[in-house]
Amino acid sequence: MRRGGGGSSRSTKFARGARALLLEVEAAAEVGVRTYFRYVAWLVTDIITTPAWLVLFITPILLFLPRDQWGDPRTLNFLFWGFILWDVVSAGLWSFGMAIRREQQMGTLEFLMLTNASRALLFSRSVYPRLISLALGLAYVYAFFRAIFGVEVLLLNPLGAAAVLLAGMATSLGFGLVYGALVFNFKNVGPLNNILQFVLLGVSGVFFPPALYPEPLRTVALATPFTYVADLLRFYAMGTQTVLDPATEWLVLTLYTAALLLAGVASLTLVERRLKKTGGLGAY
Amino acid sequence: MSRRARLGLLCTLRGVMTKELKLAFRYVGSLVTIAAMPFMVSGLFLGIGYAVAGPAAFRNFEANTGAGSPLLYMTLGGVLMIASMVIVENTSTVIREEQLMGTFELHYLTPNSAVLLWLLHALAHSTLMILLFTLDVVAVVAWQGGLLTPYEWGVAAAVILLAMLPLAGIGLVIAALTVRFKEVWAAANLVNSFIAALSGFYYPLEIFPRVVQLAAGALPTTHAAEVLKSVVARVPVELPLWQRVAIMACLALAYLAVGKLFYSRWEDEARRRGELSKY
Amino acid sequence: MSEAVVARGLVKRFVTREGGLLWRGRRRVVEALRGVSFEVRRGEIFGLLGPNGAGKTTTIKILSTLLLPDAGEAWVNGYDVVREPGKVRESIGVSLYSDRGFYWKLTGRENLVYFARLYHLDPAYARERIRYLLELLDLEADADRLVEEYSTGMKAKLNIARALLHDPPVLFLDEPTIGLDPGAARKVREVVLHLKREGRAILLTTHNMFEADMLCDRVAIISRGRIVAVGAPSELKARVSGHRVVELEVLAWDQGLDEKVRGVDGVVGAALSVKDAASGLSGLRVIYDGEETLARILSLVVSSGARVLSVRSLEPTLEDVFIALTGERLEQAG
Repeated sequence: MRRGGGGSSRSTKFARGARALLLEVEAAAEVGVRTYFRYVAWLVTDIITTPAWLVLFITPILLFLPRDQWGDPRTLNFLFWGFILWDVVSAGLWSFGMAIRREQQMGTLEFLMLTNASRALLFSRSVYPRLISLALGLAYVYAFFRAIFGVEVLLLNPLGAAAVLLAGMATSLGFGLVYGALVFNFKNVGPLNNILQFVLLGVSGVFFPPALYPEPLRTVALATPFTYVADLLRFYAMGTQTVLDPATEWLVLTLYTAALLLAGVASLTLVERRLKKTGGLGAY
Repeated sequence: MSRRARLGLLCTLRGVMTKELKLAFRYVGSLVTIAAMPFMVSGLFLGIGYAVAGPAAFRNFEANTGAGSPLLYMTLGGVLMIASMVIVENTSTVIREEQLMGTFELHYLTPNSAVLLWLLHALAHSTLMILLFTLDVVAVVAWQGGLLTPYEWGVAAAVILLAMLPLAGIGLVIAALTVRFKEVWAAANLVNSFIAALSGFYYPLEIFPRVVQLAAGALPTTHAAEVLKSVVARVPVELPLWQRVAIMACLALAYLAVGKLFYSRWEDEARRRGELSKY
Repeated sequence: MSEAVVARGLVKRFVTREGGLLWRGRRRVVEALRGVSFEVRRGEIFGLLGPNGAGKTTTIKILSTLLLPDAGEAWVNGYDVVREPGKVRESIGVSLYSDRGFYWKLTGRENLVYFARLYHLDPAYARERIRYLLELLDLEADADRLVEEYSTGMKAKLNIARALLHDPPVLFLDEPTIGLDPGAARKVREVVLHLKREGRAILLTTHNMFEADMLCDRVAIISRGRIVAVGAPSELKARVSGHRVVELEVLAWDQGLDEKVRGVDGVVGAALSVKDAASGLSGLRVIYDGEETLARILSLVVSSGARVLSVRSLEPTLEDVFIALTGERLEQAG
């Protein structure tokens, strides 16, 4: 039933369909990238702190090896690619997973909800700067790694590795959308993020093959999407053996990613409805 | 008619400690994370270490570090690392965070030195870190069938306090230098990364070149890590305890003096420009 | 029918937790709206006047699809706010009270461009529209500065610019001038009147009676989730215009002084607002009839132990209507 009748905004020219979607993507990409490059201090800090974090991360592990093996290229390459993957996994928690919460804290969530833009696209805004930071990160982590440890980074199949990293980012995005919607209740989700990050890193075989895990843990690892990202990345970069054959692992990863992305979109719809019911959109 | 307390400083100390400890315990999640983090990091290192080295992993670890228990060694390092990060971050962001909340200027209405107030905040956080240290390390020692003696605990607590307070001095320098740029968290992150890498929390510094060891010697956390490893984990170390403590005391005075200097200069400028409440 | 906005029996309850040491404490239900009904016509400025916590923002959020009502119905521009939210959002511009709500590391213009795209505006149209709005709101000179450098007034104007991006026929303005200096507030009011002359329906919430009186064609007085009166400001003031109004400045510690004064014969309404709790300095506003009533009021105030510092006779305002209807003052109630 329509009371009072009337059309929509008078002389406004609205884009529709694919064009509208493109406008949203353009808006999200532009804002994401602009904001990323305007936090110059963080950009610079990321680069400067990399050698410190590399040393802090790798040295304790080397202590478990005899001194004469500290320069073993294979071991160091496992750790290098694990370090890169850490970034991809943590993006799911900190970047995409916190997207809704960040908008709430900034006070922009309600204004975004006043538009008809796709909620999934709105909260995936940080995927654009994350892709840039991943590329930049690869470059300077590689440079510092070579300088500090003096070994060459193995990259047997660059295209394959790039494809895996991109797929990994999509998986991370899907995971983050679901996670972000699920933990929305908790205003201070940082502690959960920290704990979950370590659990995911451990369970997903980010630093070493899940084939080395004891049996129950190996099954859990195979049920985690990031396991396939890590396994395939090592396969393309270092030529290591995968747990399942690569084609199967690609299939599993693709299905997982698609499911996570769809679940993410559905979760956002549910969360929006719940927040509108409880009045929590504006709360922070 | 109000009556002033006889010992104002004690009043202030009590106020700050109560506030900070109440806040800490009301963010239970953060407290649990800080307590659990040393175990999570240690678990990760131990897991990866075992995976790359196999059954000889722990034997190699002992040969490289002198520590019979990698778990205890790493938990000690983890507790110190988390504690130092908390102190540096909390102190360096104090101006910005309090300004954002609108409470910064209000502290200046009280009859206390602001520097003293922020140091008391650092004292409160250090006290909390000592509590967490006790929890974590006692758990590991107990799991290994031992007990921390009162002497060991006393030395550890004193050393943690002596290591953390000067970090507050570093925090005040960061706070004063970066408040204008609004990216104080980035600066804190930068300082934390180098403290973490250079202090030898998770490894003996002897494996690094001499020049790195000398640079590390300028950090109070380096000495704290050595003391804790020797007292709690029974790792042989170079300098005797009293020398380490003396060095830490000198560093504490130096860092706190520098922190006060930078902070006071910022404060004077802010008062002149009316920027105490600006955010 | 020419109503742009229709609300019928809107009800909204919030569940909160209170008390509790570590855990969340007792469950408490707060009734923010208890059956609110009103209409806003096209080309009029309709004010929702009430103190903090009266339900003004809750009403706006329901009408702008940000909140789902627990009961009742509402239509905006002919579309149901619950069943057709997308159509409603295309028809409305909303300025919510907040000095957040922008991306600090983007300029004012970049923030507007972003939202223009989210509103699916044609890029060329959006560019022109943004240029026009920045000029209308005197933000041209600062358009390319980062929002983190903006003053409160500039953010308020940018908020309104964002609300107008897609040229909506209906506007919801939630406390548009709160926290602004007189110059900025005057500018915002000028813009609101300009928008009304363009034929838009404007729902404006405020607890500033002068603003309501000055801007609104009709006003609904809302208190504790209910609308207690609706009408043109002049009609509402006519309810108390036959009465006299006096404002007493007193030093009083008796918080129930206004209730005692209400008991005096001839008093229509009275409300006390404390200006300084330490000294007891308070303002007592009384609406009354009859020549001798003032003397009785003063006698009661003095005998209750209060000291009268000044007495002023005033013209009735919308605040007096509020006091007469609710027994509270606009800045105190809620």
